[in-house]
Amino acid sequence: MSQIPAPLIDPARLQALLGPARGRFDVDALAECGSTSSLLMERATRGAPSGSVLVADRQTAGRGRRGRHWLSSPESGLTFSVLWRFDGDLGRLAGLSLVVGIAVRRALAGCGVPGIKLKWPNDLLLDDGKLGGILVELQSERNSMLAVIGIGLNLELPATDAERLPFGQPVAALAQAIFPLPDRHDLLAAILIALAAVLDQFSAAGFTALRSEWQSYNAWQNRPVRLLRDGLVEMEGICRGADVDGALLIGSDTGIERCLSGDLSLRAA
Amino acid sequence: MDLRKLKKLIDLVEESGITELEVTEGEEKVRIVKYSAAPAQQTYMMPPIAHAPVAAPPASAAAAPVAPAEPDGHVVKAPMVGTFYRSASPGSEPFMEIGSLVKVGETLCIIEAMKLLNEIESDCAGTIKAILVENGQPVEYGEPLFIIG
Repeated sequence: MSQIPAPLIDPARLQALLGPARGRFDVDALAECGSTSSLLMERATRGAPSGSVLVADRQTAGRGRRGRHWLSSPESGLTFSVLWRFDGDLGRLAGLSLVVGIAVRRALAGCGVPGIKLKWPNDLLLDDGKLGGILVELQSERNSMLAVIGIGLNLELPATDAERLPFGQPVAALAQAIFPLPDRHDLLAAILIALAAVLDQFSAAGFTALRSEWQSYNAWQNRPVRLLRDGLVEMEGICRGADVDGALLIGSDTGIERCLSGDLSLRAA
Repeated sequence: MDLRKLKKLIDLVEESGITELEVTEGEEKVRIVKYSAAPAQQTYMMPPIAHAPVAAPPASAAAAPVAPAEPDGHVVKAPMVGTFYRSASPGSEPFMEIGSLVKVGETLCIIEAMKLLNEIESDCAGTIKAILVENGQPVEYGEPLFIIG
């Protein structure tokens, strides 16, 4: 009879590493689940507290943005979701996916991984390859907003070329930037600590407070970019970073346009 | 065929003097016919992007996406600017169709902006009388999305 192996993350060991954020997170680890975000959203509607974290070694139905599947094999990635509640209404959450990127970048830098850049709105890049992604799902609650923040990071590159270019976009992994890889407990703890600090700052002052930090790590600042929407070119121009609410700014001959949705890619100059 | 392309073709027919246009692209074929008389009543949701090589029904060029007359009922409005999605992911079933029974708190749609996916829940119970925005289209703050009666 086959048995499900113990999860790679030991919550007790992780808790001990949380330092200043100890007590703010309640971590549950599973060897396998459909999607950490879906399961956490279910738990949230049943009353799971802010700071609940669900980490799974393997997701059988992990979701990328708009249904793109996030492949995760146990050893090669770190995928988890964090439940967070924010006072106030939806209007206060503009830029949330960008600030989560800031937190992950800070944490990775602290673990000795240099050179991580942020791609609007929700990707982490290493040498222009996708190192990780962030997906935030929101629901309104009485007087507050519930956010389930899903984060996926590649630790090691997939074995085959086909998996490396799942959406025609190069894939990157932490192993390209650091050897040996940090222990996944240290990595997850560092991300949670940074996330608590960044989300506190965001709750208090919004994206404006973190905007300059985002700009300084904007992967494609002042480079020619193209914004696609459903596979069609929506806009082309020069990437000018993020507006005060996190909207993408693209400069063209006619001025600067604000964009709220779409897939950004580099355009050959 | 892409929805936007389809719209462009409809606009083209509308603006031109021609009454009928047929376009074949690979295995997909679309025929657009302009009626000179009052356009046939049409639902305002375009059919999902064709997967199979099925010819689209003759679309009335004049009656494109705007509802001729909106039914009475409770109007659910967009709480944010973003992109309107009727299903959780491109391949999955829409949350709601016209005629669906809806309870308070049930998910109606998703509005996405800057990769924040916001599930819009119904604030009233009833039947979906109208869906006023096409899947994948941008919506403005306060724009009517659904009519529930």
